[in-house]
Amino acid sequence: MSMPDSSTIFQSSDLNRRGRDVLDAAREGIARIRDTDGASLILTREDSLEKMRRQLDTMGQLAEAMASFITLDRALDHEHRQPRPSELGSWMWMRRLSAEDATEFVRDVGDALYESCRTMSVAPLVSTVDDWKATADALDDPLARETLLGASTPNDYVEIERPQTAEEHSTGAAA
Amino acid sequence: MAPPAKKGTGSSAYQPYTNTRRPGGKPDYKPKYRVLVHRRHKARWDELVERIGLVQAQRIYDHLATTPGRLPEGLKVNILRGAAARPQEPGFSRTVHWRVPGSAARLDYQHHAEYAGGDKGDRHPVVRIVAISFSSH
Repeated sequence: MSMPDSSTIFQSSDLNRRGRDVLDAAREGIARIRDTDGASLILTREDSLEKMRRQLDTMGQLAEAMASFITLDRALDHEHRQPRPSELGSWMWMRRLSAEDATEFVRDVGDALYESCRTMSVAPLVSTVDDWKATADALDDPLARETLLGASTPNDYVEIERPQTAEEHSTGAAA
Repeated sequence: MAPPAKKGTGSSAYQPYTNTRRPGGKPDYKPKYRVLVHRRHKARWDELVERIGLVQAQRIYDHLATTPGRLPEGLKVNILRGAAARPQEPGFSRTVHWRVPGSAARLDYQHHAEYAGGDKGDRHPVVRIVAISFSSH
């Protein structure tokens, strides 16, 4: 995370005597102001503060995901056991994945975490986890699970038509 | 030449050489892809309009019949992962997961721009709806 720096430390009395200098320092990065009781205060641009807040939020999300990832990886790859519900956090749905898929999930999340950390963006992680969540959801339906995971042949499929209104259907407009 | 499929039943075996009946009155486009559904999900397809409405159902069909390889505008779709994502035959895409907004309905499909399967082996664009489900999570 990039933090604006400033080597100049202003005193509280400078706010009156050197107000313009304080503001210029703040516009350039941050202005440090020492209050009369010794407290260090910072004045900076609002958009810089918002950027730092967003970066902190990103780091918080990545840290949380990293903790879940390490816990999962330790359970599955090192201890060869199913993770406990308390260890899964917001990834509780991944219990519905097969052992093979769970291993692939952990590998994918590891790759996505690396990319997210490298780019300081949660997007790669969110996209990967969302795709896996959709996979778990899709496999939760017994019939969908059978056709998604089972072998298939061309004869398993039938051609379908564009949905139409009852009127269109009865008049045979599409014939 | 394979015998023509029965019109209107929508349940005949897939015939690569059979002309597709033009569906839905007067669509303003020419379908490029043949849209197929797994036999075991045909009943759910027939139920789709009742579940999500005609407009949404037609939107799905139109997208699959024209540009299944693109992301639908304004909609969130996922590419499945793991075993459920694997192409059913060489050349097919990974499985795309379409969640219908405001509904628990979901469709999973794969597409192939030059599918040469079937009885005659002609090359034609095909979309396979592998699964349809209406259960919520």
